[in-house]
Amino acid sequence: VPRPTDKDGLSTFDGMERAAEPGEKVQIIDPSRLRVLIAFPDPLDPSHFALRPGDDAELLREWAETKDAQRSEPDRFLHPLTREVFEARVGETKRPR
Amino acid sequence: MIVTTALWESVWERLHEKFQDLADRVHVAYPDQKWGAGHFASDFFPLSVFGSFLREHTEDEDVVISVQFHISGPNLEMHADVAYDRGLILADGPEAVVPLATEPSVLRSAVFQFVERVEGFLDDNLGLILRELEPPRGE
Repeated sequence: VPRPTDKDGLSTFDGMERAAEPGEKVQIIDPSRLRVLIAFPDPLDPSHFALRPGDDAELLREWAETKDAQRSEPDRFLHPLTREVFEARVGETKRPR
Repeated sequence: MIVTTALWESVWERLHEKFQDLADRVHVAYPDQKWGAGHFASDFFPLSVFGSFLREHTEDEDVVISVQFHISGPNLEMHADVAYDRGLILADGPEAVVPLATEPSVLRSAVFQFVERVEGFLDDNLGLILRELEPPRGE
């Protein structure tokens, strides 16, 4: 879930070094499995992509507003876009320390 | 591939019971500690289990127990860890790999052997979890 301050969407990277610090794990997402979300390349940073529902800023804002509540309720998806990201997850790996 | 929903429901029930046991022990030290647990399934993860202990004074450093069952090519890969929700791993847990083509009863046995190791891993890391949940000084 993006933070409410993430106006461009959920930040993702196309390489391990940018996505994670040593000792952190990362979720691997296949963008072709996304339905509503689109991976927008960052014109200022070639390895950075923002996942957002096209130009629907209201839907993005609505999604970001569930971030805090999602922490308290890990037993269900509070927003369909959270489920969409989860369902596009094809792997998980970690960056060596 | 024969991996039934019933298997994953059994695994979830057992892990949830263990998470509840862990939360009960955490509550002895921190009676107001909030926690929650959930499980989900997707094409590549027939079972993803999460148990979260909230650290309300942080934004993305809740302590999360993660137990993942991942279909990777011809194998079922299983691993567990304790990490902050932003991804920093605090303790690496057990890992196991079993070919999906394994005879169902053998696969089931391998899954539950892994679950047993996860239970031991969580017992071993109760102290770590308690240290991480210690309220900041001054509260």
